[in-house]
Amino acid sequence: MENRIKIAKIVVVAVFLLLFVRAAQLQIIQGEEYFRMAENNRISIRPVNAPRGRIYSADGDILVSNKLTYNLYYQPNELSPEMTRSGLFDFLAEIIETDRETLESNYFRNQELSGPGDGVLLRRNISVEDMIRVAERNNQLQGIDIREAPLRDYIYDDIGSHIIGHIGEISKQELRDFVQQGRDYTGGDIIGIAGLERQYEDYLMGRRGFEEVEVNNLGHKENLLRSQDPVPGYDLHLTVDWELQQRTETRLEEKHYYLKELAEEDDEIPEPGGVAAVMMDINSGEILAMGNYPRFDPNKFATGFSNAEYDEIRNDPLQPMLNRNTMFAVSPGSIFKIVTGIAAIENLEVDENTTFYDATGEFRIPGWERPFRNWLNYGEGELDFTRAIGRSNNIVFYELSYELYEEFRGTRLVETAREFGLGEVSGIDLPGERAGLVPDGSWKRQNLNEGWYPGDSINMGIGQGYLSTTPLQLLQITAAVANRGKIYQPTLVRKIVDNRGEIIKENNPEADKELSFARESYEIIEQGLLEVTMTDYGTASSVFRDFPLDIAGKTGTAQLGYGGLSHAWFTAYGPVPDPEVAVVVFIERGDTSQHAAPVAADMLAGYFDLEDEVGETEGMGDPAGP
Amino acid sequence: MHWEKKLLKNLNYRIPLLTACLIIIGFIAVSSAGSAGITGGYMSYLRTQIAASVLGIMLLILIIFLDYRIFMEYDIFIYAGIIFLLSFLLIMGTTVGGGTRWLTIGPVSFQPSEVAKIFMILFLAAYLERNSNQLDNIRGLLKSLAYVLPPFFLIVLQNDLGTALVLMFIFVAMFYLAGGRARDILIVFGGVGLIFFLLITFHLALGTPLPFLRSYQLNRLIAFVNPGIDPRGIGYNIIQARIAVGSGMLTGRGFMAGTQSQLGFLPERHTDFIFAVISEEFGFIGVAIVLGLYFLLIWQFIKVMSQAKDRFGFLIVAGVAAMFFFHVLENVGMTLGIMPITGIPLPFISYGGSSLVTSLVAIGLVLNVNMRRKKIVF
Repeated sequence: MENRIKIAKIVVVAVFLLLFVRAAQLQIIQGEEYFRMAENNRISIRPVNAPRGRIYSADGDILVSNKLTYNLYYQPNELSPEMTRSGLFDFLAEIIETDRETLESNYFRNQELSGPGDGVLLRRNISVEDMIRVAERNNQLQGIDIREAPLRDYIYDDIGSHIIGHIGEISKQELRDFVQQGRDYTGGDIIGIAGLERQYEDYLMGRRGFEEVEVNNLGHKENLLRSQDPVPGYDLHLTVDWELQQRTETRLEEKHYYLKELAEEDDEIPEPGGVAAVMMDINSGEILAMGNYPRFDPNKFATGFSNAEYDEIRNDPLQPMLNRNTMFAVSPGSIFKIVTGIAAIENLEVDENTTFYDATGEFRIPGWERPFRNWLNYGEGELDFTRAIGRSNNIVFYELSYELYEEFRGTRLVETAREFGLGEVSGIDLPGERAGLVPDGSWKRQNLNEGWYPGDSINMGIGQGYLSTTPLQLLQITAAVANRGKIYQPTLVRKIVDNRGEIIKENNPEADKELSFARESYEIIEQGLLEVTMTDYGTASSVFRDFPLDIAGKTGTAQLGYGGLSHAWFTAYGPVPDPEVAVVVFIERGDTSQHAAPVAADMLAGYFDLEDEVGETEGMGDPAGP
Repeated sequence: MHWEKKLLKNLNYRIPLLTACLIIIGFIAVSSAGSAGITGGYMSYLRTQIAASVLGIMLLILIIFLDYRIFMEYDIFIYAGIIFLLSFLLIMGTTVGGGTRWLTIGPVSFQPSEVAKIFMILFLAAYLERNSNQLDNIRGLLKSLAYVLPPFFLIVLQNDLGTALVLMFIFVAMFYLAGGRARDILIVFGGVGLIFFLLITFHLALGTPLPFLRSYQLNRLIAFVNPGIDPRGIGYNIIQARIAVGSGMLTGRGFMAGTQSQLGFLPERHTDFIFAVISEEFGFIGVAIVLGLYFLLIWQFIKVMSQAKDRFGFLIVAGVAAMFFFHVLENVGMTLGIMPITGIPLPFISYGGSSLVTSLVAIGLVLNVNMRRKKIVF
C-alpha cells in the first residue's frame, strides 16, 4: 500500500507540474501574443463617413445637398435565442414596406462585405414612418439596428441630371480595383457613378474619419477611446446658369413632345428620339447650359430602385441615361460645311467673292455614273461662296470637296477636321465622352477593306458618310469660328471649394489650342453664317429674321442611310460682331434642322434676356429646308 | 464535552486554512466575473456563494462529530439513496441549458450528482474494504465496476458527462489504492478508450453511427484537437479562454480589469471558466498561488490518508483526494487548452452552491478521518 501511495504522489506532482508549465507557456512565453489578441478583441475601429460635397450652380443656387435618412442593419449575434433569422425577417417585413425576399437577398449580398460586429446592411433609406415603427418594436426586433445615414438630395430632381449624374453603391469589381490602388473605400460605400458625381468623386467624397471604440463580445460600444473627425467632401461650383439650364430642359422636353405629336398626325414624319442642346461661353469654354430629353431622376438612384423601375430605365429605347451632348456621335450633316469651307478658303483660294454655278441640283464626279444631289431637286443658278453657306448648297460643297480631293489626294479635309478637334474627345469634365470618327483611307481599308474613293471625300464634304461627331464637338467648331481660332477645353466646374471656403481648384480659362487658320478665313465663314440667319434666303432666316441681335448660325439635316430618316442639327453664336456664346441643338431623328433652330433661338433669348422681344418661334421655318 | 476537545487536538489546521484561502479567492473571482455585463452587479453572485459556504461549514462541523465508521454500516442504504436520487431527478428534475441537473425541493435547488459523488465515495470505501481480498484480479475489478456503472449512466443521462467522468476517476483511484492491479485497470479502461477512439474515427471518416456521445460532445473533442477549425463556433470558448489566460501575462490586468472577462468575450466566466478570469486578472502569479493551494491541499489529503486509523478511513480520504484532483486537473486543464471541455466546476472557486457545499462536506469527511487517526482514550 505504501508503494501505491508513492505512485499517487508522483502522479499528483506530475500533473501539477504540467499545469504550471502550461500556464507559464501561455502567460509568459506567448503572453504578448495573446495580449495583442485580447486587444484586437476589444478594440474596434469604426469608420465615420464624411458628408459628400455639395454642388452649386454658377449663381450659387444649391443643386445637390445631403439630408438625413435611416438605414436598417442586422446584427446576427444580438438575435434573441427564441428567434430565427427568417422569423425576424418575416416580422420585419410585416412592419416596414418590403418583403422577406428583398431582406434576405440584401442580407446575403452584404454579409461578406461587413466585418464581424459591424452588422449587415438590410435596407437603405427607410421612411421616417418605418423608422418609428421599427423603433417602437425594438423589443421584438432584437438584432435589428437603426442607423442614421446621409442621403444625397438632388433639389431639382431630373433637371441637369446628365450633368450632375448620380451616385450608387460601389460594385464589387470597383471596390477590388480601388482597394488595389490603395484608395480608402469599403463595401457598401456610396460612390459617384455618372456625371459630375463620378468625374469629381475624389473631391466630393471627403475623407473618412474613425472612432476607436472599446466593444464587448456583441460588438456593442462600451467606451470611446480615440476618434478623428471626417473631412467633408469639397463643394463644386458649376459654370452652369441654372435659370438657363431649366429653360433649356423645358424647351427640349416641349420639343420632344411637339415632334411626337407631329409624328402621330403625319406618317411621313418619324418618331423623334432624344433631344440635346449645349450653350458655351466662347471665351472660356465654360458650359452655361447642357440639356437633354429624356432625363432621369438621380434621387431614384440615391434612395434605391426596385428592380422593375431599374429595368424600365435600362430598357427604355430612348435611353434616358444617355447624355447625347457628349456620348452620342452621329453624322454632323451640313454643320460640317464650316470645316469644308475653312479648308476651301485655306487651300483653294476661295473667298467671299468666288462664284459657283448650280445648274441642275446634281453633281457628277467625272467618269462616275451616280449623281450627288442637293436638297432641292432643281438648280439654284449662280451663287457666291457665302450665299452657298447661307443656302447650305450641297452642289458647291461637292465641288469644293472634289477639288480638295483632287489636289490633296483626299487628305486635306481630314486634316482640317482633325485640327478642329473632331475624332478626339473634347476633354469636358464628364465621364464617358465619345470621340466620334473622322474616317480616312487607312481607316477604310482596315475596317471596311475598301479603298478611299472620291465619293467618300464628297460625302464627307457635306458631313455625311462615316464621319461622326458629338454635339459638343460641333459646338467647339462653332465657338472656334466665333473666337477666331481658339479651342477651349469645355468645363462644367468653375471652382472647387473646401468647407472653410478655400479654393482647392479653379478653372483656368486659357485656350488649350490655337488653330492655324487665317483670321480672314473665319471672317468669310462668319459672313456665310450670318446669311443663314439674316437674309431672306438663309436656311434659318424664318427663325432668326426678327431676332434683336445678330446671330451667326448653321443648319444641318443629317441623313441616316437611305430610309428617309434624318437627325436635325443647328449651331449658332452671337452677337456678331462681339460674340459671347455659342450653342448647339441636336434632335435625334428630328427630321429637319427647322425643328432645331427655334430651340437655339430660345436659349439665346434666355441668355440675352430678350424675353419680350422674341415671340413664339415654334414650328416656323421651311419644312423642306436642310 | 470532554471528548470533543481531545478530538479537536488531533485536528490538522492546515486543511481548513487552505480551504478558507481557496473560498476567499473564489469570492474575489466570482465578484469579478459576476460584475461583467450584467446590470445589478456581482452582489447576487457573492451572496449565493457566502450563503453556500455558511451552509457548507455548518454541515462540515456536523460531520466532524459523527464518527465516520458509522457510514460503513449503512453502505447499502447509501447506495440505494444514490440510485433513488438520480432516478428521481431524471423524472422530476428541472432542465437548464440541455442538461437535467437540478432538483428543486421547496425553496432550494441542488444538483443530486454532486451529492452522488460524496455518497459514492462512502459506498465504495465500504465496499472495497469489505471485499479487500478479492480485488487483485480482473474479476474483482469488473464486479466493483458493476456497482459504479448504474450511477455513472444515470448521470450521463442527465447530460452531465463531466461529473460522470469524475465518478469513474474516483472509482479507479480508490480501486487502485485499495489494492487493485494497475494492469487490470489498463486492460479494461484502455480497451474502452480504444473502442471509443475507433468509433469516433470511423464516424468522422465514414459516417458510421456513434453511440453514447452527443454531437456537441463530439464537437468539443474536435475543437479540442483543432480550435481553429471553427473559431466563431465550436472553437470559440477554447480560443477565448486561451486568450484570456495568455493576456494575463506575469502580473495580470488587475481585479475587474480583464477585458476578456469584463467585456464578455469569455463565456461561462463565473462557473466553468472561472480559472481563466483569475489567470487574466492576476496573471501567472495568481495562477501559481491557486495551483499551489490546490497542490498543498491534496498533499495534505495524502498525508491524512496514510495516517488513517483503518482502511475504511484511508479509502474515504483517497476518494475525496481523487475527486478534488480530477476536478482541478480537468477544469484547469480545459482552461489551459490541454484537456477537452467538460463543464465541471473548480472546487471552492466556481460559482455554484451545490458544488461549494459538497466540497465542504468532503473536507469534513477528511477532517473526520484525520481527527480519529489515533486510538481515542475515553
